[in-house]
Amino acid sequence: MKALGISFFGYNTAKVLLKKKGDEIALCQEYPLEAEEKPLKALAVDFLDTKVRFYPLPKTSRQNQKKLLLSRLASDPMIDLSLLNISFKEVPLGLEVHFIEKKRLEAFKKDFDFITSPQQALFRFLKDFKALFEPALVIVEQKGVHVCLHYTPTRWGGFGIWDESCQSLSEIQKFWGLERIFVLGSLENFKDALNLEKVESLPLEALSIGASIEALDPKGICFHSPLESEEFRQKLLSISKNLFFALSLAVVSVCVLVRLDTEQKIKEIKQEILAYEQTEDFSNIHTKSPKKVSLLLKDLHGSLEPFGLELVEFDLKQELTEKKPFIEIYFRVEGDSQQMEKYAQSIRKISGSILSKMQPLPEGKKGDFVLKIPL
Amino acid sequence: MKFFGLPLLPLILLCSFILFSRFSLHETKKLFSQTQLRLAKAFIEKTRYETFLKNHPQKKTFDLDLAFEKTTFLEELEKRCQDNPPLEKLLFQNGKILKQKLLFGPLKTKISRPYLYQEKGFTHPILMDQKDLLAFLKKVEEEFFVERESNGSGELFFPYFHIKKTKNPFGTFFLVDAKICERRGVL
Repeated sequence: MKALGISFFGYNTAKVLLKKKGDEIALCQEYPLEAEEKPLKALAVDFLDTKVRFYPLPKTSRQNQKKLLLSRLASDPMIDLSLLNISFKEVPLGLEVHFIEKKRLEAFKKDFDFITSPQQALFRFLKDFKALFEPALVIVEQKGVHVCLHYTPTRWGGFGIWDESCQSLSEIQKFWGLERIFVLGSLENFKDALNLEKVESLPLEALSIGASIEALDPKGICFHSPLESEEFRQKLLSISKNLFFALSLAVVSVCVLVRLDTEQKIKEIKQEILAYEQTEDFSNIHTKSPKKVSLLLKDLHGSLEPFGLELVEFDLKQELTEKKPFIEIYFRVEGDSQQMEKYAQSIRKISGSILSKMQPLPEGKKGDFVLKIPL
Repeated sequence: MKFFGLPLLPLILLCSFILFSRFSLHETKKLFSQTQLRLAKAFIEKTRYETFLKNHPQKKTFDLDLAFEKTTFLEELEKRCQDNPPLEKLLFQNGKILKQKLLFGPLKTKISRPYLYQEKGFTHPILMDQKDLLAFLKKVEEEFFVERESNGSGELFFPYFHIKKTKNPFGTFFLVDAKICERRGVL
């Protein structure tokens, strides 16, 4: 994936093309590109258009951070959220919030796929391109204003405006305790203020490179997302569609193969089952033993005795030659009606006996019991 | 989601389809094992049964009429009446009560392999006291059974059995009606 970084510094427009391959990001030499190539257009806006602030916040989820931040910003009388667009990233002990005026942003949205702040672009340039891992003072001069930025490898540590009338740059340098100084652009204007031997110059393309790095490997500061760009969305969608059709085709082929394989296996197993079943016809073997009437009557008398009830009628039918052998029992008892009710409730508790399955005959007299179960 | 979800859709469908196919194959394999087990069980049962029938042939039908030829009922009542003149007189008036004879109807045969069922029913209900009833059941379900063969060839059982308590001037009795069936193995 390629990104074309663009920045406006002074009266110069700096353009660089970066390519991302895996985890590596490298400068492309072949710029300008061929006509059909359309890289992601990343912009770092002007220093005068953006502000950066640090808000200390406890470590929590991104959504909670956003909620807390918005509530803080809403209570700040100096900030009007309806006019500002904000973007933030998590840094040690809080959030680094970048602000831009909505009106300024709107002007760029049409022409760029990705828009970030110059502070973030510069930070990414120093950290990821220049691999600077020690604090430094970075000075940017724009339209006669000298902006001093306190760089640390984790976040911007502070910002200041250098006013020649009140303090020298070395005082700011001393105040922040920084040794290295970088100047964005030409060193010409700093001849008097700085010992130029100790100052390093950053190329004008630094912001463009930083913006491209942020676009290719986002770390959170983005005023305008690449997915909002119709062209980019269409590109992604077309890749996605192509991938979908290619995968669908592959899936259909695999499905057909799997289905054929499964069907073949199932068919083989079913044939084996059929072959097994055809070997012998065992379906008519009924080895169910008939119930003995003497044992049933003994159980019945035993269950009636504690309730003082008498057996009046007993009827048994057992059919073993049917396809589903069954036994049908009906009996009637006589005695005290309360005892009969107790007996009806307790009969189900006779364990190990077929009588426990007896049911009072619903439409019969009190004391009639019936059972029909398979043998 | 639109960009990444779309290509994922066929993959999800493929995974579901493969899972479904594997499941249906697994179920068929399970059915196969169950069939094997069921048939193996049936085969063992059948072999065991056939071996038993070869070693214990039971060709002759059990003669129920002969078995119950000498069986008499209500002997207790008869004894009681002999020492009691008023009862004896009453018994004389109801003479038929002691002259009951257990007779069986025609033989009904049914084959439901591997068994042959031969069944006979009472021609009429018989009046029995508690002692008679227990003796009758013991004869059919224990004594005659042991006389024949155990383990299923030639066993006797009641496909139908009905008793009803009745009262007469001599006391309370059971009116018994039944069918007795013999089950023999056939090869």
